[in-house]
Amino acid sequence: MSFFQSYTFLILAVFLCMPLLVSGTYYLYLFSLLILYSIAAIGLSIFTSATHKQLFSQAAFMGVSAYIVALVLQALGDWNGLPAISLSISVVILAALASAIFGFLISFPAVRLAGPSFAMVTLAIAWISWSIAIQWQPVTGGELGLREFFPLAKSEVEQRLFYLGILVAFLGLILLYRRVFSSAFGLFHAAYRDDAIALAALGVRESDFSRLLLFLATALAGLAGGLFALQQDFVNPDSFEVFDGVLIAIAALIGGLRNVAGPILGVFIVFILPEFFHNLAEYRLLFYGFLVLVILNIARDGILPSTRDQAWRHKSNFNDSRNEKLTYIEQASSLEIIGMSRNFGHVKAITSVSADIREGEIHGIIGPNGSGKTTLLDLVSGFVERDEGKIAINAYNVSEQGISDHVGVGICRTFQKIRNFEGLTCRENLLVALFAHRFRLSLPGMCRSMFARHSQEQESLIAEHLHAFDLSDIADVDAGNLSQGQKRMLELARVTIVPPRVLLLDEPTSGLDKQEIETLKQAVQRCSQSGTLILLVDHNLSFVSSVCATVTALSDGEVIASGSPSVVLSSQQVVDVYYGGLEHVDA
Amino acid sequence: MEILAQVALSGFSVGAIYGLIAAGFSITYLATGRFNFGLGMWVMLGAMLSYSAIEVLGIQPLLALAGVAVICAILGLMSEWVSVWPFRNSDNDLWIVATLAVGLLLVDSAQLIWGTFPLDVAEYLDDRPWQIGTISVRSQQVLILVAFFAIAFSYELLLRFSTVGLVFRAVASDPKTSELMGIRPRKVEIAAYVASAAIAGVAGFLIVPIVGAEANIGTALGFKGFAVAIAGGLLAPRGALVMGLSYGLIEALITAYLLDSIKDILAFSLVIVILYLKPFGLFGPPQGEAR
Repeated sequence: MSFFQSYTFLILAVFLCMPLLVSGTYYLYLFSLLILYSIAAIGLSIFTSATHKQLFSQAAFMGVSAYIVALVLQALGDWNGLPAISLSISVVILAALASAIFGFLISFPAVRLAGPSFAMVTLAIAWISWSIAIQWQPVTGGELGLREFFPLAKSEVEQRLFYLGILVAFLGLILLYRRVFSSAFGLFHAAYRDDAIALAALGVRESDFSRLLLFLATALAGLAGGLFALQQDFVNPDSFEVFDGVLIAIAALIGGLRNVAGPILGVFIVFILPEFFHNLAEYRLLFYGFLVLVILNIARDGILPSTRDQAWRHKSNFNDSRNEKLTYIEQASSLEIIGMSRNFGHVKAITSVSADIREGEIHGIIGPNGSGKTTLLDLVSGFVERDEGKIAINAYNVSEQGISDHVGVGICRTFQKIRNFEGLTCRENLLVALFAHRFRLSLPGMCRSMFARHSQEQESLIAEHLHAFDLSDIADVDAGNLSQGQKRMLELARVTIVPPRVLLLDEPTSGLDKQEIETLKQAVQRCSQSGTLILLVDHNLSFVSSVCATVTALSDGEVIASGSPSVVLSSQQVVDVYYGGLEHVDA
Repeated sequence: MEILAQVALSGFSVGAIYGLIAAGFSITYLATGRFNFGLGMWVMLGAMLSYSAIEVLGIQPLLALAGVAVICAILGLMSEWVSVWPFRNSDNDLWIVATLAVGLLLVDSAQLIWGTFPLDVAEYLDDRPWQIGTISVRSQQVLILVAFFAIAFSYELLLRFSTVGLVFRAVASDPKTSELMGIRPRKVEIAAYVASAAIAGVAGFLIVPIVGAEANIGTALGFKGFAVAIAGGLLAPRGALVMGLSYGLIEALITAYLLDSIKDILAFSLVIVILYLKPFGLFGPPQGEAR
């Protein structure tokens, strides 16, 4: 933990201890609100900062958990002393878990939705849960709610102890947050934020990851709600209105999503400050409105925009004791594409295309724009579902669907429009690939990643690989600041650090100068020599004919010629397509 | 049977309002991929202004309608400047929160100006119910439906056959290319926000005799209009209109034959189920990226 971070942590701890020093319980109450809403807002920031989607239902999840706590404690009846404390703690934890499971269930309809629809669904959920709390009177007590279920924390001394309890829990939570965000999981989180598709292309299932984030966010909301119920000893629908969920989102956004201090500051401004201005209550909405417009117009990323809170940058934390070797997938000796077809509406993008790639071979796909080259790569890499046709590696059918499953069988790709994690350094970009290889296949893997840091072996593997791709000098530069050629190299380095069986390159030379193309050529040939089958699409015919052993020419989604580059490029049909039937010109 | 007809009529007239609000959402989404998330508050603004114009100043309803639409349009333009345009490239869809913030400003201002008690506005045509056969009909319900179909029809015509419509659809499908073709996406965006706010104002004008003028009527109306727009498909203008009518009908049926208190729970759950089955809405594209 850096000096700055421990410094802010200390300030926060001291600040939050202040109500313990003054007499009376008003500030205890106010500061516990600050802590509880902060927990929910931090949960929201974990989700929103990576998925860029607005989550307006945090208050509802707090409510779910608060009602569960109230109902369970009520059912258990009178307890006292130490057993009562441990009992309440376990009930709160169970309620937080229940709220998270509820969030997880909702993620099934929700994660596929675009931003505005997602925001709407979260509002709908908030509205539904609020209505249920009002309408289901026999259980929830209707508008009146439930009260007097927590026998502790009545006297002032007990209230102080209770506050101390949630304060310690909160500070512990912040330390845990930092720990988790300096793990492999934190790196995935940053990578997902930068480019979810590039992460998917490394095999991390997009929907699984955002589901996990929603689980964490709602678990924290649930924790906050459960403690809220204990603190108030009273729950009713008014405490968890739709608007409260919106306020939690506003708090996190104006504070800053990318570090733990941002949401805390936001909650202080949104929830606590107005408490000091009771007589101005009727101007409260005006205050929120202006606050949001002014702050977001001045500081897009909130008041505390720091992106570097993640302790990730510190290179000294090798603590991975399990010296896991990379499990290389057995190399492929052939890739067959058989009768591949795909229509988009009435447009036939690809019609029964077949190709055969043998060991040690680089296969090129050429054709004019709109001939279906990229669609073919999309089909082979699982980005687009195939209507018909098969892919076989070593004569075994690849029956998998979806991007990450294709990565799982060893088919990796790059993109025409380069996709790197632009907010991460080159070194970190490669590390994401190594971690993705280790954790990608399952949700449990993702959870394990929260406790994994990188190892010495990984570090040296990355150094070697960076050197091979001529990126050593810029290892610690953010990928967003590289030149076009360097970006292309980085992308290639990222998908090859765990050697794939099949590598698909989409327009690798676009935007590169002559020198860079030469470097690229060497890199591609090196991959091929190390046993990877390569299928590349390119417009640069001299590049294609100099690297590829075999070439397939496409036009309007159909194969018009295939064979060695010289044969294909001189075939009459290819010449017609490229030069509009003019005399053959040497390319 | 008569009860059913009555239920259907009141359902459709409320649904028509949802449909109009949904159209207000989809018109800007179509052109820019963004919209005014607090549009419900603009419906409220329309209702409040109508009250002042008609009940306080005694202006003819038709003139009042024009005034409401113009004022909403001008304010809509101003709010676009502060809450949408600055956030066009933001990571986290900040315009959602910013337009909501403008909505909060409107609610609080309305409370300060008009107070917190509901204000009555007389029906524009006839304050007594009309008898058609054995059913009694409120004149305002008929007016709402007529206005709805008139607006829906001209909206459709405009989008399909006029240059305006062509420009809108061009910007919607590719803003960069349309810019190269000499269209100014910025102007289209402004036009869309002006239209959106004006439509919301008109919706407020139409519904105010039924629900009364009150600062907090906007939240539920806007939110339901939004649910309708999303469930119908934000990219399918016709979907929003059809879905609005159906949503109103479903609500009215639940109220009449089940329980009024669970209508929101059921209707919103239905919307979530629809989105689960069709992420881009019932009338939206079957798959692929929504913009």
